[in-house]
Amino acid sequence: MIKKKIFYLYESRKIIHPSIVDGFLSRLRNLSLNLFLFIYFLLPWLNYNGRQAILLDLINRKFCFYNFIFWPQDFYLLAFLLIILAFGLFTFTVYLGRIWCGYICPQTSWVYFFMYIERLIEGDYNKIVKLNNEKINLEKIFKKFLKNFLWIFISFITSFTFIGYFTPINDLFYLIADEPIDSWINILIVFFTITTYFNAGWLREQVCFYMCPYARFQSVMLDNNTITVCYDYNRGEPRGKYIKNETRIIGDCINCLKCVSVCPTGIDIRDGFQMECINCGACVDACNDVMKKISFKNGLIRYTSENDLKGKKNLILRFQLVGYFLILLLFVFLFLYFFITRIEFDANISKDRNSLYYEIDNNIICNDYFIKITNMSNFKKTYKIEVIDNECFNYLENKIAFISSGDLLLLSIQIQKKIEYINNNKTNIYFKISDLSNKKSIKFVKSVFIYNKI
Amino acid sequence: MSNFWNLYIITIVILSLLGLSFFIYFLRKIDSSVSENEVLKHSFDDNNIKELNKPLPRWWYLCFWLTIFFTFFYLILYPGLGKYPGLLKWTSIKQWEFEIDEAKKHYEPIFSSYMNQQIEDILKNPKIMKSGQGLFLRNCSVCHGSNAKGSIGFPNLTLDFWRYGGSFDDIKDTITNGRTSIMPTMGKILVSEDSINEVANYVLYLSNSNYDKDVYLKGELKFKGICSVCHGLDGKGNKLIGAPDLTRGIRIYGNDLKSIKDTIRNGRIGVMPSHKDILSKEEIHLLTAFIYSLNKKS
Repeated sequence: MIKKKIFYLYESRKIIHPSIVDGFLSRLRNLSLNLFLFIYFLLPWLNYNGRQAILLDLINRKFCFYNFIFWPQDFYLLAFLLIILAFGLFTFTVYLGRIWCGYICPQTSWVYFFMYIERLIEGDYNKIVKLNNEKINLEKIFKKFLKNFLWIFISFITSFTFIGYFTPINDLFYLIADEPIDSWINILIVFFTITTYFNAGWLREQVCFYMCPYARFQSVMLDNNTITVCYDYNRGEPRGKYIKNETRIIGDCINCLKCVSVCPTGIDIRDGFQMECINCGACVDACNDVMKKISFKNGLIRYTSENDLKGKKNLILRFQLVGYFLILLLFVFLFLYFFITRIEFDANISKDRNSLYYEIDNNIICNDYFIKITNMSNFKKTYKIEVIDNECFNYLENKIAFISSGDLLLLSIQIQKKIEYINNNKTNIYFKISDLSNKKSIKFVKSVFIYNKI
Repeated sequence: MSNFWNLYIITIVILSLLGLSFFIYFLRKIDSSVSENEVLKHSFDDNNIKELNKPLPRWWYLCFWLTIFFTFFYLILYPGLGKYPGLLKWTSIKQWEFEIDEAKKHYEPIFSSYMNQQIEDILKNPKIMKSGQGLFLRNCSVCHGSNAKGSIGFPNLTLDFWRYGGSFDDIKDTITNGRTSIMPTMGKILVSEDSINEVANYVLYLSNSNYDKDVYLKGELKFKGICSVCHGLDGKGNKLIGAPDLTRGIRIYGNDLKSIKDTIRNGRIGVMPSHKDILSKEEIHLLTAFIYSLNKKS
C-alpha cells in the first residue's frame, strides 16, 4: 500500500541573508553592476544641442538619441534592436549560462544596492538575524526606520530618473511641484517608487523565482556544454570535516557551508545545478577562499560545464551556439543597413474619400489626393512634389513645401486629366517627393487615378 | 433587465465567488504519495521533461485572496450585481459625458477667443486656419470636396463666385441658415425644343463661350422676357434670391450646351443644409473664416 500524507501546496518564504564575500568574481560583479547603475542614473542628465540627449518623448511621439530623432515610422528599427537584444541574450546564455542574471540584470543591481545599505546600517547577516529576533527596542526601531527610509529614498531617485527618460528631467521638479496630486507624472513616480522598494527591498530573489520569464526560458537553453557554476563532485565527494595535518583520504569538500551562506538565492550548489541559480559566482569566491586557507587546490566550485565534469570533451562550436550567433550577426547587419539608408521624412498619399472622381469641365476629370509629409529630421527642410505622368496637367498648386523639424504638412492636391487620355477605369499614378537639401532622400508613392469610362 | 435575469446574474456572480474561495481554501493542501522535492509520476516528451513536487510561495496564495477581496469591494462600488448600480453610480454614459465636459472646458475658450479677434488676424494665423481646415474636412467636404473645389451640382468655393454674396457675413448666413435655390422648370413655358436651344445659346453668348451665332439672337428676346425676372436683364443675377451670374461662365450643373438645355428644360433644386444645430456659433465663425480665406488668396 502506498503511504499517503498531507502537505501544503504553498510554503512560506525562507528569508535569505547572504553573507559578504570577497574575491575576483565578486569584484567583477560589483564593478559591472555599479557601472550599469551609474549609466542608468547618468544618461538622462546628458545634454546635446540644448536639449536632453536621450529623451523618449511619448506624448509627442519623438525619440531622441543625441543627433538622431526617431519617429513612430521608424519603429521597425526598434523591432530589429529587440531581436538583436534577444539573440544576444540567447547566445550568451547558451555559452555562459545565466550570466545576464548575475552580472547585468537590473533586479540584481538594485538588490545588491539595497543589501549594501542594509549591511551599512544593520551589519553582517548574523547581526541582521540577531536584530530581527530582538524584542522591539529603540535601537531596532531606529535602524529599521533608517534602513527603510534610505530604501524609499533610493527608490524615489530611481523612479525619478526613470520618468526622466520620458519627460525632460530638468523640468521634472517643477512638474512635480506644479500639480502635486492630480497629475499622471506623480502617480507614475509613486508607482515606480513603490515597485522598486518592494522588488529590491522585500521580494528580491522571489522575483527571479516566480515572476521573471527570462529565468524560465534561459533554463531551457542550457545544455551539457554550457559553462555554469558547478560543484566538482568528483573532487569533493565524499565530504568530511577538515582535520589539520591529517592525510586526506576522503573528498576535498570540508562541509564548511560557506557556499550556502553566501548564496543570494539560498541554494546549496553541491546538490547540482538548480533552477534558482543566477550564475553569480559568489560561491566560487567563497569556496576558493576556504581552499586557500587550508592550502587545497582552487576550483572545487568553478565555472565549468557538465561535460567537463564528466570528463567528456566540451564542444564550443555547436549548432545551437553558432546558429544563435549567426542570427545575431545577421540582425546587427540588417539593423545597420536600415539605419544608414533611413530616409528622414515620411510621405503618405491617400486618395480623397469623398468622391471617386468628378468632372469640372466638359472634358476634364479630376481626382483629389491628400499628401502628408512629415519632416523627421532635425532641421527645417524644403520638399518638392512632382507627379510622374505626362498626361496630367494643372496638378499642383503647391509644388514646394516648407516644413519645420518634426512637423506634419497636409496638402490637398487636385489632379486633372483630359478625358481622351484616360484609357482605363483605374490608372496607376506615381508621386515623387524629394528633399531638396539631400539628393539621396527621394520617395516614390503610388496611388490610383479613377474614372468610370463607359 | 427583467427580474429573472437580475437574479440570474446575481446568483452566478455570488456562486462563482464562493466557488473560487472554496477551491482556493480547500485545495491549499493535498493528499499525495509523492513527497516534497520528489519527481511526480507524470512526464512529457518521452520522459525528458519531468516535474518535481515543489510548493509555490505562500504570497501567491495570499494574492489569490487579494483578488477575491478586490472583487468584493468592486461589486460594492461599481455595477456588477444585476440591477444594483453600485455606490459610485458609475455608468459609461456618465463617463462619456464627463470626458466631453473636460474637452469642452479645454477647447471652448480657444474657439471663443477667435470670436473676439479681427478677421484679418485670424486669416493670417496658419494655426487657426489649420483647425478651420479640419472643421471643413469633417463637415463640408462630403459635398464640396476635400479641397473645396466642388463638383457637378456642388459649388466650387475657391473661385470667388457667389450666388448669395461673398462677404464674411453672407457666407456666415449661408452656413448658419442654409439655402434652398430653385431654378423653375421652363420646358412648358418655352414650349418647343427649338426655343430652349435658342435661350441656351444666348446664355452661352452671355459668358463668351462657343455659341451658335444663327440662333442666339432669337433667344435674347425670350431671355429678357422670361429669365431676366431672376437673372436680370444683363444676366448678372440677383444675390437676394440666389439667381446666379450667368456672365462668368461658371455653372455648377455643367458648362456645355446639353447641360444648360437640361437645366432650362427641367429646372434644378439645390440645397445647402442649415448648420445651426450641427455646429456651435464659434465653429461656424471659424469655418466662415476658412472659406473666406480660400478666395482671398487668389
